[in-house]
Amino acid sequence: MLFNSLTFILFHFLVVLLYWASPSQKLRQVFLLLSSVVFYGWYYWPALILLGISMVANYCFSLWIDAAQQKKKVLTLAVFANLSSLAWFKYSAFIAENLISLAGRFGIVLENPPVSYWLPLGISFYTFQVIGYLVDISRGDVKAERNFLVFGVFKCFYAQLVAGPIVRAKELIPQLKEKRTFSSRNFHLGIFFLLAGLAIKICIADTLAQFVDYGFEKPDELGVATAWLTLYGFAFQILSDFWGYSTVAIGLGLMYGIHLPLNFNLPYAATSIREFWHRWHITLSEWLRDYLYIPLGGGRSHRNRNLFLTMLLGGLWHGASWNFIFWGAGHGIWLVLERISSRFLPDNRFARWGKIVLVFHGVCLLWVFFRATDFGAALGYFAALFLPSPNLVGSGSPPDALLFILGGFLVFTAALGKALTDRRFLEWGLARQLAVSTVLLLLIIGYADARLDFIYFVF
Amino acid sequence: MKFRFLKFVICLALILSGLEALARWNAPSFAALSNSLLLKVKILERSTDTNILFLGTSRFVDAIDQKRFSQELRETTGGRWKALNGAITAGKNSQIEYFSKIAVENENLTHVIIEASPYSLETGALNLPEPEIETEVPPPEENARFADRIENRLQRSVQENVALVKYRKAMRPKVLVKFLVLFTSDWIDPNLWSRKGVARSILSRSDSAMDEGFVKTVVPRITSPEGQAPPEPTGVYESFRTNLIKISEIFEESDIEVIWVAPPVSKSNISHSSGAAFDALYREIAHEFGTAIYDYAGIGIGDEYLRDPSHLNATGRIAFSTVLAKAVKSHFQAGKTN
Repeated sequence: MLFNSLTFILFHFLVVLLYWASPSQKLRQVFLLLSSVVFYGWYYWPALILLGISMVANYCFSLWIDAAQQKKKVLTLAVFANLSSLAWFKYSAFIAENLISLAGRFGIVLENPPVSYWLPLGISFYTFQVIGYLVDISRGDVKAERNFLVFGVFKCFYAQLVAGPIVRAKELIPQLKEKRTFSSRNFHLGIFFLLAGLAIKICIADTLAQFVDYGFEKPDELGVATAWLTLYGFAFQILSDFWGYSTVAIGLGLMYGIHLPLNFNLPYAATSIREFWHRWHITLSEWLRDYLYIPLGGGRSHRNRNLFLTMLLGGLWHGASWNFIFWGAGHGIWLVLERISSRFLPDNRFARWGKIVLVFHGVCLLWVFFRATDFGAALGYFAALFLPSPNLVGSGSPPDALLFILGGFLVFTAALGKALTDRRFLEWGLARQLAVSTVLLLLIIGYADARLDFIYFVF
Repeated sequence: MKFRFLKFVICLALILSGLEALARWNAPSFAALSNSLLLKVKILERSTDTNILFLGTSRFVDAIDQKRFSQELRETTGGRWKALNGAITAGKNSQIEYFSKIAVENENLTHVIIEASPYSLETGALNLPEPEIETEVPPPEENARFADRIENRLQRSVQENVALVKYRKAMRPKVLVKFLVLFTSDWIDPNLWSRKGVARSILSRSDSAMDEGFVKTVVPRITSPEGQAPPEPTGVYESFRTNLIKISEIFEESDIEVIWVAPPVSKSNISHSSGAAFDALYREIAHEFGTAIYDYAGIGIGDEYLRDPSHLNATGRIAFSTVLAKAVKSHFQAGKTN
């Protein structure tokens, strides 16, 4: 189900009702697990088979690691099994395609193997979440959860199953086990997060999508200014899309009394690329730091290499394509260069504003690799950004609507960004709460014509 | 805290119920604010002294500055001319026909200038918000998945039963602009608010030197009706002809003169803008109904006047409106002489 569908909204409120009407925590856990299964299998039920296998296998692995003397060996096996599944479904076609191409250069003709081109929804998210859990058990940070119901909900809680936030076991499992009483405060905040998240997704991300799709499809029809504005459009589209999703997820969790971690904190206000990654997709950044960068050696040895490799693999996590590898490598190189040069950069009020502008534009330029369909298309877009197109007819000026939506995003962020990061909504007066909620609701209704998938569903 | 939450929920429900009631009781206004065609109809209804009406698609939306056109015509003829640009973005022939039927009821209307292009002849959907005329959610395909069918049914049901959803476009921030459009249409061109942007139009160059340059370049290819062999009435041309006749008849019955105008395009786009069969079709209809055609599409103009290959920019808009007003003035004078 899509968060921005009527089916989901009805489904969610029905489950919430049943959840709070249930007398025991066990029954609540049953409701959460069943509803997550229905949610995941709603559009394509065979996907449940893989999710079920992953759930049972990782439950067994978690108990095995907990009981084993040589935890590292069992952990290696478990991580290998999880990554193999991810590699098969996500990367096999990419690997095969590149091997065939490489063999072709040596005159060896290979045929396309019968690999899967079906990408199970959210596989990257739930695989990373469970790997983090298994590592935590092996490190002794958490105990393996013996209650399969609780483990099942941790593995596939529908609020964050398909696109995060990637939750740590120590954050979520205690909340699932503890019997809670209904908190109108949480529910109230949950409604605000749900409305704000849907408004960000529907009004901003989905409306920007039409301009961005057109621009990236036909960069040679864009003037230089329009190409830049379209790129800004994508920067705000992907932020709105994912920030919207994460905000809805947090809101859904709150309605069950479950606190999910913040995933975005005004990332385009970062003054360095390091800070950007502390503000963008925070739960993934933390996951990469704790389960990849630190095991690679972290800051203890070969820090630059570790930084670069972490970002490279982070890029690959986003998708099986050379573009994502370039995107990750770009961020890795930038992080390394920034680390080396940071001591030479000025640090005053004006310099900070300058850094925000520079970081934003650097991030935007790297988004070109992320958004373009292939490397050639990315180069084509770079050409549109810096060279006037020979095919351009007319002034190539940007559509007013694009400027309007970008302006709308800035107004939205200025008005609600803080309330979404520090949860200040509850401190507002009733009139302000009602005014904001009504406007959000009307915006959702007003822009609800185009129901587009969330971008991060394919990662 | 519980009491505060309950108060919030009850108040929110009351606000939404109030808005729903408002939308139901003022359905025509909400419909106008949620639909560009109905908005233009409302503007025409308010502006009863309009005597020249422009009808067409986005090309006319971009090409015609009603204020400049009226002003130019007034200055050169000394008459009391007031034009309204009733063209709508993505306008289809069905919408032009709908507007035409309402426009003829305006007693002061004497001339209608209609965009001559294949786009304005495409039949298309009327896209009015009333569900009995058109429902925006298409019925599910027979082989659609269960999940899609459920979602589709829910959407249709909500759209048909909830006025706030039916007129949902009236909930967009742009509606504030539409209010301004509605109440300022006598002074500010309604089209400036949408596609071109007020600021950009104000900032654009519209000095006379630019206009003079434009006048020298743009000379209509066809300026009077000519009887020529019509194209074979097959395929798309058959429906084009039917649509042309329908529109022409509506205005002929009300004794309102029709002038067909093909707006200019880029030099590179001339080959896409019209064809011999298309030209012949217009000539045939012009001959039959005694209407004039001004074809600027076959000339090709410089990029400085264009936003894209087939839409004028703010500078082109001012320049073309001036040129067209002069051509229309000549047409009026020729009519008087005849």
